[in-house]
Amino acid sequence: MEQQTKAMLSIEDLMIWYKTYRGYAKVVDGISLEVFPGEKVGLVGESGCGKTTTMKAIMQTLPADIIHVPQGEIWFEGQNVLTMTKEQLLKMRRTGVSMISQSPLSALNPVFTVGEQLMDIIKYSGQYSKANKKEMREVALEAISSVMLPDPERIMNSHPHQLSGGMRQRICIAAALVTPKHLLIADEPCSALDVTIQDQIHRMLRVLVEEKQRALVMITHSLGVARELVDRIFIMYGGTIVESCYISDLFSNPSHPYTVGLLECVPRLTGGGLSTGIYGYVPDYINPPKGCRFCPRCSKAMDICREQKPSPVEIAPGHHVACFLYGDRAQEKEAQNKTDYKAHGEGG
Amino acid sequence: MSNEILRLDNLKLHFDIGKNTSVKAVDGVNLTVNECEVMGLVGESGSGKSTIAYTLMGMYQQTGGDIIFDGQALERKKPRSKSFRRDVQIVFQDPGSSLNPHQSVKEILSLPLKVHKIVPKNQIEDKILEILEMVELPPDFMYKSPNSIGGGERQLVSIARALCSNPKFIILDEPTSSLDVSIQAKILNMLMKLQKEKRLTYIFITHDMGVMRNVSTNIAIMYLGKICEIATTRVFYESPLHPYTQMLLSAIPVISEEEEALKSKRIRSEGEIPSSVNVPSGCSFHTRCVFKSDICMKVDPEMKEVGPGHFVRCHMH
Repeated sequence: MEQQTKAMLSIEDLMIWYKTYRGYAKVVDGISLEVFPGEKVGLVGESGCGKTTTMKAIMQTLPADIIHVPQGEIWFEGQNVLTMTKEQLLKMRRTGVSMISQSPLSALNPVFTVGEQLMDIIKYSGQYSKANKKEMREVALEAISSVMLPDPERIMNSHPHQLSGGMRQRICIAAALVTPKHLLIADEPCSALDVTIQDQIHRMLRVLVEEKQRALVMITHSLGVARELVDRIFIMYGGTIVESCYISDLFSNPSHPYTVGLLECVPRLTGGGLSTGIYGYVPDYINPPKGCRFCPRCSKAMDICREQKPSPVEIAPGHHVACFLYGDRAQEKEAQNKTDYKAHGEGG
Repeated sequence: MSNEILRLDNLKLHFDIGKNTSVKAVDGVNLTVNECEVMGLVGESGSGKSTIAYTLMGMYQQTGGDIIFDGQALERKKPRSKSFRRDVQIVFQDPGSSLNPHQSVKEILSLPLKVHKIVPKNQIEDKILEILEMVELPPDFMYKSPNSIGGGERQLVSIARALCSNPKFIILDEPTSSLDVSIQAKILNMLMKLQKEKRLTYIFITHDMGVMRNVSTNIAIMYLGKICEIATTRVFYESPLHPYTQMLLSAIPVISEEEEALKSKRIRSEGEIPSSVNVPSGCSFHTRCVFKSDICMKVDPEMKEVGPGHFVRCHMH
């Protein structure tokens, strides 16, 4: 596929199965996504829809003995992550990708000080291999002050339990940004924090990512967070990407029935009552529905939905929906806008 | 004027943690809840909202002030009376840890029925079926264990347990904060339907202002063990007065332009909630307030009524 700029990260038709006693749990079911340099991308879905599994697959931190990848490729900066050697993988983790985890308490080691942990990251990133300890300390101090924490010296010498939740999360962000990596994956970085702290951290992430020209993948379950932070959004349901578009299109023209339902579920500050929620529960991954995975919960389900998997179709430039409701319309458009499709498309 | 069902009168709960130091978890709270009202309690973690709920239930003993329920002051050193325990129920935040994993749903639900002798023994099963129907769970859930069902269903079982004793008053301590939005919407809807049908009174604790807008009739904002603003829901969102309220509102990620318009443009969230061991002098919010002046650092403001039912604790008003 031709691209105007080369994607930094591209996932092609990836499937990830977990081995269980009852058989394979088909958690990620053929997802494709692309992240370009300098772009902020959101991956949104309910718990258990495979967001974190996908991102951990990029880092290759999934437990290898219970994972089966029947098909798919993950390309990061021109290299296939799934076929990397151990050395290449380590290099990618040191210099290419960094991840901010959901729980800042478990991401930091309780027996080392914050300073020691930051210095370790700096030391092994390769960037400062020739620097001495004093210089590395300077880099760490700068990282701490870049996340707007007061009194960096004191924080360097504190253990994680001496800091509050918001401070710990900022340390994790500092750790992810301390070395010049290219892609930053933030896995619900604020779900354990208060809204006021969340607001501050989002503001900071936005500035840091834009300043340092990083690409950001923001995993979240909140559409509000996505609206504040990202340029392009992927909506996941049951291990598939049901809709992908620019963030403004999502709110002006939500198209997949799941996206529409999800938007209705969000309680509004303006009031207007509560929606009834989306009927039913997330699918069983061991025996998932044969056709579209959303069809048992979908109010617009047709016969074809129960039989076949829908493939993504482009309903507007850059706006892809995996739903049979849009099949015919999109096919006409596809013929018209073939050039557009090539520029924005992420494949069928 | 509706009838008052609960009044907290200068309620205090200080935990001693050493010589002359104490955590002032709740520090002089006055709050009145009327019948059939949904009183929302909002605040950041560590503001003391759950502590109020636990003190009311008798899990902690207050160190000062009174709790008046249904016209009677609750005795301080005694366990709550049986009738109180029947009339007031609580739904906890995490259904995973508040339901016994070794019991079936039937066992969980039959205990309050037996203790409070709600129905004769031979009708317990029928009553359980009736309650399960009320929370829209299928009858076969009776024989399931809490471990084998999803988070949303577990929370429904918790709600069913609270409904067993025909309570008048239910405390909901962040009942949906661990759930996905699609399930949250369903549970909130059901809670509001039950409230109307059974004429229940709720204290609804949450940190989600979007949820609060849609469920509560009145809202109280807490900060470091004190209430800083009380108002009816509509007034609260249209003209919030306390700088902390404005900060909370401005921090919420919203999904439409109309909501964006409700947020205060002048205030950005700054800083973190201080530790309740070293509460700042004067107004406890002054360390994060953009409008602070000298008086805020020295004098703790009094609660003032600025409109009908609208109380603010701030020197500016």
